[in-house]
Amino acid sequence: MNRGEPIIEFKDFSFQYNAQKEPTLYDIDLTIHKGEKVLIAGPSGCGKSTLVNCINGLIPFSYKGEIRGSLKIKGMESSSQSISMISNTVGTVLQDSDAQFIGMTVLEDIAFALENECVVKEEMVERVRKAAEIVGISGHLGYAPTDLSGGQKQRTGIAGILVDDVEVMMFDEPLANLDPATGKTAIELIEEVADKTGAAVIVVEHRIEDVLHIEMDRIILMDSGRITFDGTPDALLSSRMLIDGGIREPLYITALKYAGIEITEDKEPHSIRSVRLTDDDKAKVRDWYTRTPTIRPEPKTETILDIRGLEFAYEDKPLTLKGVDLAVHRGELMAIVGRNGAGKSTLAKTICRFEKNCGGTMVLMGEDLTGLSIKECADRVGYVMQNPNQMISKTMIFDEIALGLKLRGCDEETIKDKVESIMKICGLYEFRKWPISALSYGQKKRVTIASILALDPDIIILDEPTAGQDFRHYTDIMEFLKEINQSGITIIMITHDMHLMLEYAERAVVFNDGRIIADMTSAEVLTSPDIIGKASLKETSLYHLALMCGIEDPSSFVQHFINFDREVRS
Amino acid sequence: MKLLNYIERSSPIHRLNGASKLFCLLTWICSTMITFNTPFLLCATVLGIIAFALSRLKLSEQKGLLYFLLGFMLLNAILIYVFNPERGVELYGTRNLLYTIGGRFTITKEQLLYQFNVILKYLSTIPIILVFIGSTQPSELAASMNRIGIPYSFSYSFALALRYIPDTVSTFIDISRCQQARGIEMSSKESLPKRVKAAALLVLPLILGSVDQIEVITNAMELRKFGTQKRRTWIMSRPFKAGDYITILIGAGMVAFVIAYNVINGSRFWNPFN
Amino acid sequence: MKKFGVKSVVASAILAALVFVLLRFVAIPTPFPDTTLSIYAAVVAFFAVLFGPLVGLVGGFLGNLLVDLTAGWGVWWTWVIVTGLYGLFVGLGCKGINLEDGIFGKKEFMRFTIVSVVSCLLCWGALAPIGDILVYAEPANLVFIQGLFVGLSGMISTIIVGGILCKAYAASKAQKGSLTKED
Repeated sequence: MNRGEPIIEFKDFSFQYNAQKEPTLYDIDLTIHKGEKVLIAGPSGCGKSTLVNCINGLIPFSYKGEIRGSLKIKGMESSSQSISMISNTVGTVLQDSDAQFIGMTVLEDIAFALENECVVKEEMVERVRKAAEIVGISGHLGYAPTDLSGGQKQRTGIAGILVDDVEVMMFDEPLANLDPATGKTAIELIEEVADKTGAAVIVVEHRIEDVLHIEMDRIILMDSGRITFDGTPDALLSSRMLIDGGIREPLYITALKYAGIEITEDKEPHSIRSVRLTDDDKAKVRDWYTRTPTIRPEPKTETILDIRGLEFAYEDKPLTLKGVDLAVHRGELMAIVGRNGAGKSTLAKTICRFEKNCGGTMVLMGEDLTGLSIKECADRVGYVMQNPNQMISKTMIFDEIALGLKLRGCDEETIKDKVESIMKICGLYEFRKWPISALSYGQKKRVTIASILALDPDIIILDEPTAGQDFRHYTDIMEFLKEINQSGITIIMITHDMHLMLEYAERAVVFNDGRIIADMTSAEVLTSPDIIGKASLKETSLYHLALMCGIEDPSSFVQHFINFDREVRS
Repeated sequence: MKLLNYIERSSPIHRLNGASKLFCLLTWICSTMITFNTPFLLCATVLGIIAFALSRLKLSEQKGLLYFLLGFMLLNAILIYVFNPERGVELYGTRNLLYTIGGRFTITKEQLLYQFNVILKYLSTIPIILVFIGSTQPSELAASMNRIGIPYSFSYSFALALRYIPDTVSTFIDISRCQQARGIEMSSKESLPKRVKAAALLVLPLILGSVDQIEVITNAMELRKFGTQKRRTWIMSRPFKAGDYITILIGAGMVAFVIAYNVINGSRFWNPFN
Repeated sequence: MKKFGVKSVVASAILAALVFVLLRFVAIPTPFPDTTLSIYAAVVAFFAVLFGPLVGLVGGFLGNLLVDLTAGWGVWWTWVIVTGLYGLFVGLGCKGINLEDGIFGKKEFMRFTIVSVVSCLLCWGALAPIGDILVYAEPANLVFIQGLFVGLSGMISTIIVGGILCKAYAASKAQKGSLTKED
């Protein structure tokens, strides 16, 4: 490979935060060259965010700690520079797009760095115009962040670092808040911008299948503060490193392995488009598919919630929900999917009476929900917000779970019994004396779900239950939800995560423009190009694999994979 | 959510630089706050109305705000009268009784003039505030503040507040509904301390979450070099034109007049009773 | 006094946003008819303790100013400035309470309470009414009663809500090493 000159050089680098007893990074040796595209992956807590902060200068200038070894950026020791000096070389787009977007409008946000460098106005306007053109946001310069989609915010973020002619663009979980199709466009845009500007790209993501949609030169794998792998995507995918490192393999790789095919580097397995399968391999896949019959999940039939002609509008705006008909069945685990702003969250909020519908009916087991107050409705339908921190208002776990019961006037004894039994169900009992602040994100999520379960709802609705979680936490949360579901509670999830939908939801309801456009199994949705296009989803790589292997019914193949995978994992 | 009621329109006032308008606004407010010179306040009120007309803003666009404002002024006037019907007599040192309603409630010329002044003091600033907000792009405000000498860090705080208020409001609405679902309410059924505690539970996740957000935003700003230079430029700044100098002169003239009047007159009250 | 750095700029802005939300959306009914109690003073005090007096001053001032600019009751400058001063005083009086270290015990709470009571009396019991007398020559009895009412509600909300906030924040920063699971 033709490598340019090194821009970032770690040598025997270790870092320990002042407040911590152990180092977060150990013996890092890593060089990133001009024009390279590098993916950094690893489970939460592996040190990848710390590595990112070392590269962009937040360490050591904002976060204090002890550095051993050396980190050179453009040949100069980073600790002898400053954040703003380093920023001239390395541009960072943070994961939190609302924090990244500083300006009141797109124009001001792109110009932000230039304003801080005291660039004169005429030059600023010119440089902003250029950057906006590269990322394709020129038509929205006067827009405020509240009027932009996730993808447009991402574009603004990239333009905001491009105005400085950086040599490295670094992205911290760029796909985290985007719907699948927008995520695909975003990663393609990153490639396009890198090719136009010649800048190196560092992407930190645990969804490696989505990032490998573009050609990455290298993958760095991290675990417990160390680099455990540094090589080409093909080399990584043909090893066992991913599974051992707690990261999800691309689905087609897993399927090929299930079919008994050995993944080797010369098969070029880094992308579903590049992977080379021999006729023998294809026969093996077909054989695996037909060896056992594919059982489709038995749909549930007893209606628990019947929604008819539901309409909703924010103040005097046009309708957000344009006549939604939906029968939710008892004991179902349902996913609601669709692009941002299609009305998914609005539907959830309307069911919970957070928003008052302006037309239609919602009947839960014979009772009309539309007459209930928010509090009354919560005894029947529980709502779990995406961010657990926004739901927690007590310091101790017990008090938090007991809050709803206390406010409903239950007596102490009942509350104690109820809370303890729920803590046992939710695996929180052993932590019962802990303050909530000592819990991990996933445990906090459990606390918020537990506090909703305490009210004995028939249905719970979860907004993005696993957003931002690595594979281990994702599995942990989802298996927990599955257990709850099997205990008889109907679960509705709003999600952008196609894996989640495929692996856990037996039914997928697809939203587009305030209406339901599809209601079928997840496997069927993700193999229907028409629905995928309308709802801004992305077809699963298993679909392409099925087509490559000449399987006529891709949706059945996907279903087969899900069934098989479930068995293997349990 | 639209925070400040900026209305895009082509008018001489819209074309003025935000900095000159801000300077004029501040001097306007200062001078009308200091003085009790009735003719001056009357002039300022008329001038404000003329500026409003020049800005081509419509009264109907400000209706909601205006009714509320007039109601508040009326309430304030009534309160002042009820609490001290002879405040004017104390201030002007003479007593021209017009009518006695009963008991301590008298109507004097002095009280009428005093209360007229208080109303004028508010009335003279209302049109100019409406004009300023309606004709100045929110994005230009911070640049203008910096231009008239406020350090850019303070000015940027103001811009950031405008940027993050809509986010904070929508997060608050989400959180408060979830908390209501759990049963937190602040109705009058409970005792006051309990209600305050309920409010604390309601806002706690919002406030602690915002504190976490501060660190992330700070990082984002430092990574794009905020605060590294002694000054900064603004893409929304505009050059000064002739109109801007006139605007500044008007503002400066008002303050100069008020100060001069106070010194020459020996008091800030215009007193027709002596 | 600490430099007004990037973090202070952001903290002031976020404080202003919070004051805005609390003043506009959170009104607690009181025993007096048609009067509500707002808890914005509590968040001003909390930020002043956490980020220092200057953040309390700037954030409190900006937040109250933005509310007055958009709410339609006109800008009551004396009260706007006093909200900022309240942040300044609480921040100055609570210097040395370091919530980042996770410590907010009885001693700190007592100090916080005393400082906020004194600041409330000073700000709304004296400065705001005097300001109104100076600017509008309003009757003293009227403005002092108004000031007393706002000051009392500021006190109640700061001690209850501000106390809860400080405690909760300190708890989230406390050492986690001493915890063990129980069966």
